[in-house]
Amino acid sequence: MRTMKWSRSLWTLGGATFALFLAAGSASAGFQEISTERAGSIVVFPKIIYDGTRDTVIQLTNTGNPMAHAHCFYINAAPIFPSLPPSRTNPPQWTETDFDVWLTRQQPTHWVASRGRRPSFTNPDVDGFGKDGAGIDPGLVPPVQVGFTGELKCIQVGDDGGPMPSNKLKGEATLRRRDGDVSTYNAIAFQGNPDLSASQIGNDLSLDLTMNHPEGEYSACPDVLQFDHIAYGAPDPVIQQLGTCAKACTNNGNTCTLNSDCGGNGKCLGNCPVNTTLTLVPCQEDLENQRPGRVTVAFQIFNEFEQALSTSTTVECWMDSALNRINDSSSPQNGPFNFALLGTLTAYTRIHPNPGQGGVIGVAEETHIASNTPGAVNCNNPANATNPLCRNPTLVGANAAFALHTEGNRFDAATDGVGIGVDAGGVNHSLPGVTDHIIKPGE
Amino acid sequence: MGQLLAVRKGEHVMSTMTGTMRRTILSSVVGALIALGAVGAARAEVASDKPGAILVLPKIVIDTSGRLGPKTDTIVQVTNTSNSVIAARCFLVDATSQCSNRSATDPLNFCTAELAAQNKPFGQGGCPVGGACVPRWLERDFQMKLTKRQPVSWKVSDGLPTFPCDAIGGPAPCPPGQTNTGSNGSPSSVPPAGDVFFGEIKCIEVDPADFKPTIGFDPTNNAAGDLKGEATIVSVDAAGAVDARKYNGIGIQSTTINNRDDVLFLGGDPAVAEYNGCPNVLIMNHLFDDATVVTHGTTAPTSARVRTDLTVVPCSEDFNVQENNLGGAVLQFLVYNEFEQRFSTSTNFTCFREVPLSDIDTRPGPNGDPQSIFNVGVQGTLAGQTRIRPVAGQTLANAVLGIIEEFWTCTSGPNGRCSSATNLHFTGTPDKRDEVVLSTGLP
Repeated sequence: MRTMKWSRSLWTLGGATFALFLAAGSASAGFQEISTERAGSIVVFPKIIYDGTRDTVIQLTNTGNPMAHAHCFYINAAPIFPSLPPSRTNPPQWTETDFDVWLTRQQPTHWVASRGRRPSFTNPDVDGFGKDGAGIDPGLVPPVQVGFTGELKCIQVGDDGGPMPSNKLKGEATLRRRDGDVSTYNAIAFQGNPDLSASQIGNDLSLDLTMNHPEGEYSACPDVLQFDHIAYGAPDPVIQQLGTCAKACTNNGNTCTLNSDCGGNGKCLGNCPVNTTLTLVPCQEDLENQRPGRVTVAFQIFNEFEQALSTSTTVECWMDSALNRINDSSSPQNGPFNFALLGTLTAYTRIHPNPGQGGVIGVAEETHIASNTPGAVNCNNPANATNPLCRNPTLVGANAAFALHTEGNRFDAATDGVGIGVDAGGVNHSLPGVTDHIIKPGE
Repeated sequence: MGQLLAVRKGEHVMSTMTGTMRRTILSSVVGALIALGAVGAARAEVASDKPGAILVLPKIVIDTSGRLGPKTDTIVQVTNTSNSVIAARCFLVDATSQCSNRSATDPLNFCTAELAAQNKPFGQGGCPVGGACVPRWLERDFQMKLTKRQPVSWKVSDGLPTFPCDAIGGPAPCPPGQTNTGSNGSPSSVPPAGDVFFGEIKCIEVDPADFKPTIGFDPTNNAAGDLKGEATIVSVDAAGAVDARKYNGIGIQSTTINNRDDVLFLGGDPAVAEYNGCPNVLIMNHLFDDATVVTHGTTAPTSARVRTDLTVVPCSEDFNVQENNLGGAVLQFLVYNEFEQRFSTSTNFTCFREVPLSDIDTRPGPNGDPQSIFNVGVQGTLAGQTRIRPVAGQTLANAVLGIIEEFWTCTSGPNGRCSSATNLHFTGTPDKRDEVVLSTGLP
């Protein structure tokens, strides 16, 4: 026994030392991955909304001591016919409006999407002490029009407008509903390679910076996005205990006491659902030629019993969808994200792009509703299937945004989302890398 | 070897190797992959958007009776992101302050500095005359074993007495042989927390074979760790007003070495660091307290007033001797407004600190808030950037982790307040290490 333990210790020590030696001699320990908690050279706000009900407060900060200049792009992904749901015949507009901001040393700034920010020096109601416009104006920020749904992307540039990858920008966005509900998320920051000059990068920003490719330009997009969420429509356990959660049938929305009251395969559950909305944007975007990215992504959904379900969808330009409508099912109550199918309160979802395609980034938002929340609608009642509240659950209830977790990168470690390398069955899960590009308009 | 690297989707893989050999081989494989350039070396940073080997949830709140405000509870979600079975030793830290002149076992003995300063009655957050509101630090540990890709969730007030794959009364629909019971027969369970409760949860990834700390099991993230988690704080009132805010747990990634004892080294000397170091500086973008933000255009705008709370917990904690003899620090704050004007202040804390921004540099309670450097009444602009740096000790870095919560006036939330939670930004790593000492009560 002692001999075996000693041998195991040697194995462990030797293996660890070998790995540490290699790690020490490997590529630079600089930070290359995208992040929601570090400053970067490209910051992306995946969800900007001004639809008359919700508006967005944007905060952008220069975390460095030199002045920072950013070239920002609003990308409006609202459908061509805004009163109709997005579809193949009603695609996103994908129009971009760009503007510049200048930030002095460590300067934070803010603006509201619907109001923009105008330089003003003499109007005390605008930039008086404690007013909305107080502070060093970062520049002229245009307001967005009502109905805007899309993203904001800010790229750090130099005096000449060329890319400057010095990693000093960070941002946050707060989605505020007219009745006051708020939901905040951190912008996603792409690290730039500070050893590269603007002329070396040009206007075609390659997202190929990784630990193993330190000569790359900007962070590669993640290979896998992952997030935990409450199964769609599951009753909120806190509201069930502390609030009002009247029971209703999952198949017809009728009030009930027992499952047998519902008929068919309906279940009698508390009607205080937690609904999750997912927003995804492709990493690749051609802002000069107005060509949006298009990525087909696959979802693996695991419930608490380790059972897995799957589905897929295509993200074209911008996707903002309640989970139960991601696959555009004609019967969303039976979708793979739904509580009725998953059977457990919590689920874990992994999102990975199809082989050969670029990456996506995004943010998620949960909505918690009590059965007596003013304006609440029972979305399990088929009569409410076309109710706007059932297509967009963020309109009523309490919203809470949160960042998605990432794994790997699409440039040098692309996988099928299951593993890396060849498994025991001979299946190779590693895929050829993909380089995403952001093409900014030339100066 | 192939079994370690990849698992066919849906395939049930039983590892017959002991945990020791599996870890040894994995660390060597990771090292080899690093040399081959297939994956990068572990980063010297923590992240709230990537899994880790230590998971920190800094803010847990329970007030199911509504004694301090609206009825509130916290939903915790924890997931094993890898394709291997893992385990975790977790610590539920109760940092609820108590009145010094009342019995510690009195169920009404809870207080906060802010409510005590407002002379709230005993049982509603205040203390009887002559008593001081004193922070405390009590920990309860628990363990869990998670199967591949398994998420679990629980309401902190109830805990989770039975895990999904250990269903009482019959076999759970988990894959054959997959169980949440430890290898020594100890079931996974989460104890309920008391009411009222303020505190944190910290989970350390361990090998399910012996419940000793380990590097991660997933080579796709360089064995950095397999735990991810989120906390959702939900409040509700009888009228159906609901408020929810959600934040990501902070993951501290493992390095490639671990001596498997109960003293964990975070950062510091790379030759002995078992986990990445906590950040040197936390960066917080926020709106100054009492700022009035106007949204929804200019024709029919709506406004709200904002207040922000900061919650910090120490990276160093000693769970073995049941007292916080490692954590705590002096925190230095640099505050920048939108005029690039800079202010500074400092404060100290020992084990857990939740504080409204305006109370950092003034007395607890609303008196004095308008004179705080975190208040719009002093700063004159709405947005600010605050950099938080802990002062290092002689041997330990005294680093901290935390989140912020914003509270906006609103018509839809309980008590007229709507909230959001955000993870803080990080930068840098201190030279010294932090330490986490686990309790010796192995299962």
